[in-house]
Amino acid sequence: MFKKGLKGSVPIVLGYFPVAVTFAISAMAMGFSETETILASMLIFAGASQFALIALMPQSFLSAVVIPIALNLRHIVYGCIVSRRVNVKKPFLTAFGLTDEVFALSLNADDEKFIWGLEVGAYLAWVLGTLAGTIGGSFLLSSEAIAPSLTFSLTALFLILLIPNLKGYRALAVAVGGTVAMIFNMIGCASIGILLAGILSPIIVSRVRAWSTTWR
Amino acid sequence: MEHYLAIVMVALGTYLARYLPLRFRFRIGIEEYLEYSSAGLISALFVTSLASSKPVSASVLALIVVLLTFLRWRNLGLSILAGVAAHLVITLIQKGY
Repeated sequence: MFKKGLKGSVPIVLGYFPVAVTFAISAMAMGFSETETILASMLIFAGASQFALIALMPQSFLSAVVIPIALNLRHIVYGCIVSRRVNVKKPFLTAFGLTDEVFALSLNADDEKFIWGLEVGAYLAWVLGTLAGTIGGSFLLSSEAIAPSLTFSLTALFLILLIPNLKGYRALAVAVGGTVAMIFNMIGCASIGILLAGILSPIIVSRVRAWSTTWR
Repeated sequence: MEHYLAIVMVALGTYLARYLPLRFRFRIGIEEYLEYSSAGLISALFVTSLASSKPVSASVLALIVVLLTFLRWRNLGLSILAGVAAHLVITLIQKGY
């Protein structure tokens, strides 16, 4: 199952690598040393939070710590869902690599080792991408045409994962989640939008379902 | 030193947000609630990643390729590779190569 997860991580690997390279270049431009940049990817392993950390650090230490953590509160919802779907025996290991993309793919998992495979692939891509970024980032990103196409693999992945959910009331949850995310994305709070999508979708769908049952 | 401290604190906060619900198996609702929640979350992740992709027009066209190849082959990896290739070709065409 671990190997299956590792193979399944290929789309994540393709998407993470160029983003990690970009992170490394941005971090160094913001005054982080090579060691600090690599350490951030090794210890935090959360893209949006790492970008927030390096962007907010020149403003204030407090916001550079609090806002990235707030961005990751949506992971609480991921953990709740994964722990209900999969028998998690070693949460201290499984928890470390439970990123957005790993969570999305883990919804197809029925074994914790499959998730570990996904996490190892994703983690290696993230850390090695950061390392590559610190060494020769400007050279790797010189091909402006290739980098966005590699990142597109994450969007493609989410689309395919959406397909089984386009049935019955789950389709309504998809519509609600997508709308909430779109609104918050437009006002520049994408991470909060993702968190709210996970909270509001079931509340609204449950209400609609209750109303439709009453009116039948 | 301040950089190291911030990195360690964010890492700790992120890990706890991931670890605590797995360790204590929080119950935030019934099975149905979680099913709708995960559908909503994947949709949100899709919308967010699409909105941040560049260029969006190339991504939208490449998504059609992803959808068609997936419906044809039912193979996640192949469909994503086809989508990435289509995205690259469309981007190059848009740039006039």
